[in-house]
Amino acid sequence: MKRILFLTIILFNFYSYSQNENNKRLDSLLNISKTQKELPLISTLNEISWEYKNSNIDSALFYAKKALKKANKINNKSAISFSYNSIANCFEGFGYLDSARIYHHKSLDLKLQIKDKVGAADSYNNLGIVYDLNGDFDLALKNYFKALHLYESEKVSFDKVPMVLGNIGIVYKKQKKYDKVLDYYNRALKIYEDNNYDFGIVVTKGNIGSVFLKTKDYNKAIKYSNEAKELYNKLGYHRYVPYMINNIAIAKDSLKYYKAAQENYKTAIILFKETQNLYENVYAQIGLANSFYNEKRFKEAQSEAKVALEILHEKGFKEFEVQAFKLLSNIEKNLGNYKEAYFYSNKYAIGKDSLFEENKTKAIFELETKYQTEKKEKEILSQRADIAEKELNINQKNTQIIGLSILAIVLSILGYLLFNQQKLKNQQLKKEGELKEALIKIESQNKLQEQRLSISRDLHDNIGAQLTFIISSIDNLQYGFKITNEKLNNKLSNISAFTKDTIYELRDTIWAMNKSEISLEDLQIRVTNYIEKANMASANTIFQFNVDSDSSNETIFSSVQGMNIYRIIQEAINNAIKYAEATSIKVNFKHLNNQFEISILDDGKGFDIAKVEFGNGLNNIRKRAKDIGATIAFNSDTDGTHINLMV
Amino acid sequence: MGFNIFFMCAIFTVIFAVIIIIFKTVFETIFLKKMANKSLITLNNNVKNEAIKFEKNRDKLQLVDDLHSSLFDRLFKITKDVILVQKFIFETNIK
Repeated sequence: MKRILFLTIILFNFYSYSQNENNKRLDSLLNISKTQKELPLISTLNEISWEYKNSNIDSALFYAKKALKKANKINNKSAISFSYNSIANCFEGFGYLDSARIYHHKSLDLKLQIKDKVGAADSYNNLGIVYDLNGDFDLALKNYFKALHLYESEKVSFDKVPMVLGNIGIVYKKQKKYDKVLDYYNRALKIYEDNNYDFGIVVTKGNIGSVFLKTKDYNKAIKYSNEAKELYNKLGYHRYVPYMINNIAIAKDSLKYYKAAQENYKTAIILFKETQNLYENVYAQIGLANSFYNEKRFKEAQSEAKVALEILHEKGFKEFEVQAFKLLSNIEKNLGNYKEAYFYSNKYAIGKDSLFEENKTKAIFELETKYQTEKKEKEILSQRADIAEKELNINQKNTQIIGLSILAIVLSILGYLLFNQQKLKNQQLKKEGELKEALIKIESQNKLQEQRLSISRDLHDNIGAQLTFIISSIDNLQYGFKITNEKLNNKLSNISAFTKDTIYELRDTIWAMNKSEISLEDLQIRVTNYIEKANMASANTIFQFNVDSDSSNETIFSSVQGMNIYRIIQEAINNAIKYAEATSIKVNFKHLNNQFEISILDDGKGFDIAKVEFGNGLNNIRKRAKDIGATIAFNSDTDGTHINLMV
Repeated sequence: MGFNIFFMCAIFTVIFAVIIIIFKTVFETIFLKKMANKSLITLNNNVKNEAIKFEKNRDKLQLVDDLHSSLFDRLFKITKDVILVQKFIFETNIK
């Protein structure tokens, strides 16, 4: 009845409260572990092992071993020691304390190797818990003191030292050395108070209150339990308030303040029922029945005891049976119900040998320490999980942003390329359009010109025929009619000759027209033909026609150029025959650099270039030279005339 | 996590598709440039050829015009001489 086990309830409530939280954290950790490697992964695996420890120890061990395997792979001693610690915790959960001890030692050895003093202190503390569970109190204390020494010498979080002090207190409590228990609890309380750690303060005050119950210092028990109750209310831990109220009820009952004790018991029962804590409800129920019994209100005591018995039988809370049977036996005896008293007495006799109650006491005390030790680790792991989850979220968001940025960049590139392509197409279409338009224009002009040329050819053919007819008609007249009139004959001859010249001119033009271009050879042939005719007309004159061997036959003149050159040569030869009375006429073609030199030389009487007015012939020569962009030079003296044409 | 994977898959699929389209566009543009240059060269050559033809025809027409101007005078002179001969013959015969 004088149980001071309220902290167990805290643990159970943490356990049930945190079930949902654990599931969420577990899912989060499992998800994170898929993206991690090496040290972060090992840390996460150990955290997953911790999370599974309360619900599925096999899975917890699995993940702890997985973490060890990975830690061994990268040969990181810190990670290996952490994994050993996780495995040891799993074995503790299985109840394999020897295995747990071995693994804690392995973890400790590594931490000492890497000079992790704080880690080593944690391992000493864990070993202390294992030895405590095993009943090796001396070894438990030895390890606790080593942990305490290391915590006090290193810079650690403030709650490590009071945690170990509390664990030491628990061992002394088992050894019933309550003065030492209070000493260590008070030291822990002072540290919590110095650091304003309300939770540590409230738990320690509750523990101290429980110890005072053991030392029968009920007033102090009430004081501390009251303070703890107020603080639990203030902190919002309403679930734990009825534990304090229950302890106050025990103390007041012991001080024979029955009414106050019963009120407290009733309050505790109500609160336990509200929080569905039937286990502690039964305990308080039995306490209430006991208080009525102490006050000799046997009827009420019987009623409350039976209620308690009913609940504990329904829920299977065997550990309270012994107390309930003993109480009911006494109550029934006092009520004169000896049969029932005997019945319950037998039940009590059977049950009292059971050590369950003691074991439960021991286990609950042990749990307090372990959960105190590992509570902080759990909080750290939880924070790490949160940080890891946040980091994962950030990484995911970063990846999304990078992906979207890349998408934006490639879309921009694509847009630019498509714009470029369209621009190119437009430019090309525009150029093609312009060229096609120019082509159409020039083609139509060409067609027009060709039509004109075609018409001209037809016309020339016609005129040629007409002129030939005129010549033949005149010739027929002359020879057919035997014209004696000399004047008439001369006129007819003149007309005939003139007509012939017209025909020659027509033919020359037609020759030039029919050629797209006139080669040097063509010109040569034409000039040669003309010279032959001129030779026939002027038999006394010697004609020479020389073409420089350097001149290439691939030299090409346009129709106009060829025609004009020919006309110039014609004119020059005519003038030499008609006016110069030359006996020798030379026509030379010479290729000089990129130019052609055509020279017509005669040995006639020449003329004074300065004094003589140029007639149609010479003017025509000048004009024709200018038309084809050639330079003409006249040199004349009494020895002859030299006309030089540079094309 | 599921949404993130789906989203990233979708994004990278789209990126991959856009990259393929970019390559396609680049090759199309190169081909287009090539064909456009060919076409322009052909058209330019045609225009040049027609221009050369035009120049030659112009030269020929120039010759024709020159011929026609002198031919007209000559024909006129021939006609005049023929008429004068006719006149002379008539005058001679009447006498």
